[in-house]
Amino acid sequence: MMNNNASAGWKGYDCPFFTPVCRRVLSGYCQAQGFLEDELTPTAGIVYRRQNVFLETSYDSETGLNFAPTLIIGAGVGKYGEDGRPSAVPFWYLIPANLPERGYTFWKFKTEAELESVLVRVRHALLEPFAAPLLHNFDLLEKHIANFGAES
Amino acid sequence: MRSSISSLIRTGLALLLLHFGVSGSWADQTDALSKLGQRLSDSLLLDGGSRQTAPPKSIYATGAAASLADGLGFTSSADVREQNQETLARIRDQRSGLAEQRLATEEMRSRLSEQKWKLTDMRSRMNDQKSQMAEMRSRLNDQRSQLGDMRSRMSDQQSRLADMRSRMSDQKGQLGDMRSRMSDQQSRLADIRSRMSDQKGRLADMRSRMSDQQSRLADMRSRMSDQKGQLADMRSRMSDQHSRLADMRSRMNDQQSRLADMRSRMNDQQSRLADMRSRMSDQQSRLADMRSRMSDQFKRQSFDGAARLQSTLENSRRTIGTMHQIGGMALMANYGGDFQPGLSLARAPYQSALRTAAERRVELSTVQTFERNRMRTTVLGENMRERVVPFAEKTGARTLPRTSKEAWDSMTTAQQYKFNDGALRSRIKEGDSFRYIGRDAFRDPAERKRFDLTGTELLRLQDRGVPYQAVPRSQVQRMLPR
Repeated sequence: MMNNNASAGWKGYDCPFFTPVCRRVLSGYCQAQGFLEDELTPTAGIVYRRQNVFLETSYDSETGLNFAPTLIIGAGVGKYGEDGRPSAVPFWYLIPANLPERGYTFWKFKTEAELESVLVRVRHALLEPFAAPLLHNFDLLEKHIANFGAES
Repeated sequence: MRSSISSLIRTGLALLLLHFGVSGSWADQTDALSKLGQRLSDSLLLDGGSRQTAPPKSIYATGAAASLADGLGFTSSADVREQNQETLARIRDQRSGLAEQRLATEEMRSRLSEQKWKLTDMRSRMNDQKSQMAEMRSRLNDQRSQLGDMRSRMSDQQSRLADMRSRMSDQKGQLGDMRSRMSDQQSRLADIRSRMSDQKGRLADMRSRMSDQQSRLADMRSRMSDQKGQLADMRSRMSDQHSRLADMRSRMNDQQSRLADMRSRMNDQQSRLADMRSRMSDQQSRLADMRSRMSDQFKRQSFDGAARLQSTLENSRRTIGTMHQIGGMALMANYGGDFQPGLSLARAPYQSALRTAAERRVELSTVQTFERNRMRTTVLGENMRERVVPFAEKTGARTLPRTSKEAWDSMTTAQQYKFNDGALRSRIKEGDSFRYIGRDAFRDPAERKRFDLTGTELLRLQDRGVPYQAVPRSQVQRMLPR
């Protein structure tokens, strides 16, 4: 009874077409990097994983119909460690503030077509330049995670 | 040049002297000869065309012709005539010679005149030449002096040139040295530029971090402001506690005085108390027994009442069902009218049981509503679907409600804030307690700056003086799935 009350209304904010479009656009690229689909987030975002490293592609569901993409790369089981500190790092932390790609959290989408174009842009403008160096350099990834954890 | 000029001058002078000398003697001779010829001619003409034998005395008597006639010696007329003719021939020859000489003289004169002009011209030219020569000499002297000056200057210039060459040599050495230094400086400059580029990158990174730090600082300031408010509240409470403590102390003093009186009385009454204790002990044991009995009885009654109500309801349902079955059968057998009184009788306890059940339900609903409202907690925080909702589900709390996605999307930002504030206000009215599980570390601060519902909710609670519990991060994490 309580569970239903707590989540009542919020599930309706999920994007119904995110998972299939994301699979169509990004799964091929992730597989080429050695990352396979591991699980879905509560809002049906996709978590790709290769051993201890994971890449979460999801969206901000609280903004109504104007969704915005979220990208997180991390090491371990989930986004937080046992002590409650982050064990992952969001992409906005990795991109210098002066670059236009830093504003990817404002790349809004409402429809499948818009999501597809946003995810294509995410792949070329974010994953390839900023994620690829970290996916194969665990030490660098851990350094970024440690810095982010210290600042947050 | 000089020799030609001097020869010309000499020639001109010689011709001039000759002219003056010859012209004087020749003039005299020509004059005498002309006079003599005239006389001879006159004497011949007097003879009538014949020869003249003797010249008239008048011819001989005067001048140079007379002396000449004496010299001739007038011996005979024939001789004289021959002599005269010879003389005339000679005179004629002399005349022709004189005429030639005249012509030559005229020619000489014209030449001389020409030579004079030439000489004059040459003199003027010579004067001009002399003046030019003098001028040239003066110029030459000037040129010589200038040449001397120039030579001295050239000497100075040469010495300066040598000096400059030596300086240039030094300068070349210095230039080579400077070039090598410049090369070093350029390499250092390139190194500094690359470092500057790195530093710029770091600076941009630091600026972004500073921006984040500033946002955090603002957040901390707001938290500090909240903490200050809470501190002020606590201070005011402490002040109240102090005043109460003072009041209690005064009361304690009174109580102590009374206690002293009471002690004296207690000493008197202790004996009585001992008796009463023994009696009380008996009474307490009896009271405990009674309480346990009453509790058991109350529980039994409650359960019995509920069980009885449930059984009555079940019996009634069964009876009604049976009656319906019987009624149905009777209706099927066309006996409907005969079973009506029995059906009414059977319905009475059922309806009574229904009324009692309804009353109990109302009571139960009231009690449940009270209990639910008394125990309810609303969880606040960022990221509803991944953090707030799971935490609320785990802790038996609830979240703020949200309208439909389409309705939310059709609102302006101000309307969205207003809607959320209305939901919060209704929770405050319902008596909810509030727990705050913090921000989502993965949320973009830029997005938070644009739209921060959670921060607004906390500010609203503070403004209304409603306390909330900040849940520690480790505790939050224990409740979340990942």
